[in-house]
Amino acid sequence: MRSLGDRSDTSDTCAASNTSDSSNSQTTTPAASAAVNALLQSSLSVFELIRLIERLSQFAVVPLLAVLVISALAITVVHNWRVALPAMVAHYVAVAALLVRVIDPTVVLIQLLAGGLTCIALGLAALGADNAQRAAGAPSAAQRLAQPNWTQVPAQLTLRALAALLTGTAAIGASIRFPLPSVPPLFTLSAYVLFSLGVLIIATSFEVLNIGLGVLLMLSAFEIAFISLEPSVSVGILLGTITLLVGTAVSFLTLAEGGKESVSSMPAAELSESRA
Amino acid sequence: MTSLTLSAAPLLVVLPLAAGALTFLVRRWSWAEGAIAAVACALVASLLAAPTAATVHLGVITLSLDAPFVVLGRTLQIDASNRLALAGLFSGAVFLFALSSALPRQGDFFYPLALGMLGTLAAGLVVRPLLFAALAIEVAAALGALLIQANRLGARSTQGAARYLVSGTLAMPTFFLAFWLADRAPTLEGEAATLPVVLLVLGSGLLFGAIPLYSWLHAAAQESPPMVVAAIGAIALGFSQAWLLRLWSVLDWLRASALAQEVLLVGAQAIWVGVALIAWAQRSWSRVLACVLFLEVANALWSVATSGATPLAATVFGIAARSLMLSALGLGLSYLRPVRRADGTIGYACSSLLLVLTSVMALAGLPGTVGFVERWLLVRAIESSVEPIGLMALAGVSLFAGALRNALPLLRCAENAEQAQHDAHIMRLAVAAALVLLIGLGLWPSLLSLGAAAP
Repeated sequence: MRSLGDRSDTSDTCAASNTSDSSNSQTTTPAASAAVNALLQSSLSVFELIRLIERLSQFAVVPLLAVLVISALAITVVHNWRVALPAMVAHYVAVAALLVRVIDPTVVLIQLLAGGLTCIALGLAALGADNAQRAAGAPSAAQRLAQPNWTQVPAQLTLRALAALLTGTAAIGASIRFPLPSVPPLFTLSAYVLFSLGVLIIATSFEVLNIGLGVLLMLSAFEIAFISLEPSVSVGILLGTITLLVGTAVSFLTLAEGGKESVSSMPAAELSESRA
Repeated sequence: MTSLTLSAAPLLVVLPLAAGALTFLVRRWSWAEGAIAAVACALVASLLAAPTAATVHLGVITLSLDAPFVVLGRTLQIDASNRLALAGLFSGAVFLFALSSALPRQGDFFYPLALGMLGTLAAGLVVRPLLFAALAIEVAAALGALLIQANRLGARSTQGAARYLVSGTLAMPTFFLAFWLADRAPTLEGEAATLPVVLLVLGSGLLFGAIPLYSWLHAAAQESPPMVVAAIGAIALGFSQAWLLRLWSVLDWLRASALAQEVLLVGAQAIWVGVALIAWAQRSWSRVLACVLFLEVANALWSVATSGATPLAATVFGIAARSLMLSALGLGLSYLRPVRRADGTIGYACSSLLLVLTSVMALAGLPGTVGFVERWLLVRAIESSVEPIGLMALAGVSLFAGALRNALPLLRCAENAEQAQHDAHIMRLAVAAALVLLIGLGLWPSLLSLGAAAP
């Protein structure tokens, strides 16, 4: 793992080279110099992002773990994409802050970008599916948030919260009883909690989007375990690519599910009940 | 002139992926898509089934079949143990793509996704360490999910696609943990081998779709196009069998485990019983297709469990033959669409019905078909016990009864329907080719001489 000192040295060197490059670029055409400046600015912002991730990793373990668990719990308990997707973004940031302790920050940045892009793709697909379902007469995600069905929501939320609590407790117990060999305890705990909550989401969800979020949580658990075992650049890039690919597949399935046939095959009342 | 020696291992991955990109470019012409895909797979299959063991000369280039190729720090290498299985997988893909080229368009992404899946799974079979195969399985699961629902059909196929993705994702950590545990322990014997064995068996069961409560097979078969189900069945089941065979030959502790063998044998027999009980009562073709896939899962499990007694070439013949039979059934079911005749009544083409029934006969293992050869080779591995043979035969008969039950009502209105289909000539040619293959390879199985590459 590269230390913070190394990173600031690198960025300083980069900044110095940026200055010399800028002076050279004055002799070129204005369009080319504007392009070069834009490129330099974007590379600077990348370094700033890396610095930000490194700073996040310097937080104490407990807040990181808290963000990870709370975001996973939110995705498990609230089956509404307008809540689940922001929670997923927070989850990817927490995972990146965790992983930067064992792997090069640049690779973590790639994974964070893969997670972010996946969330964007899922959001667009969910929006499209939502529009199609609203046209078919089912309530949209925003309407379900604004006007919850008070006869069903409390029971369902309580049931999911209890199931998540029990699963989380089992995961904590399993991480103590069966620790992953050669993996730090924090990583073991995170991997177990994320994997078990992912399985719970898959088991309790009806919609493809929620099932996909469960799959992505399981993939994050796999990432944490795998990267702590083998902190190499190739593994990080491979896992980032897989996250993107799975995200694409889930987005596509979400859009397909939002089509007319899937909605018409189920009574509107049953559909809204399953998504409450 | 100096010759250049290259490893053949990356070709197994690159060639299908490149062919996939090419098929996307020529997607307007269905026959061209199928031809490109079939030729690419035939090239790889002929390379793997080359009679000389180590090298293939192509002008100044010498392809070394067993040379390692290092990419991103991982090694791709064709083992002698899985070379035949790979040859079977790619030969089966030739049948699949050649027969599907006779159909009208399957959608923009059928060939690219199927070839992508094939290439990725081939990478899973040649990558070292084995741990990285778990990643290939996940990528293939995502591509498979897209393939199942590429035509944006109904809710059941979406459910099938989601289940396939979940199965692949759930299988990944089990393989990961099993190999991790195996790598850490210098020797795995007795009690120490139990956990890795259980994890491997569980992961393989998920890949096969053999876990009954959350299986993707049935849901995918409900609404997806028959050829897509055939492709998933041929590629995914073929890979799963080749993957288990590879593990069986590479991991001594797995081969030595009585538990693993027992679970596979019991699993196969349980599925045979299940198919025997339910197949005859199915009232739709999609359900019959699901039963066909379950029966093939059982046969594959049995084949792996008895791999010590069955010659490797026989198992590989099974992989290629399954692909042919499933593709022929997929082709027949795709053509079995209602046609409005001139007098206003609905009819079904006789030739497509004939192909469907012949394919089901082959899949049921009835004599005179390629399926019988596969089944006979399996039966020969069972020396002492009669019950499994009975169960296998009963499952086959039940399956054929289910197919007959669905076919009989259609036979009554099959007259003249063939002439009403606008692609009747292509249909007749494709059906004839499939029938010749199903029966010809049943009578002369040595034509599919994959055994030439036996090390």
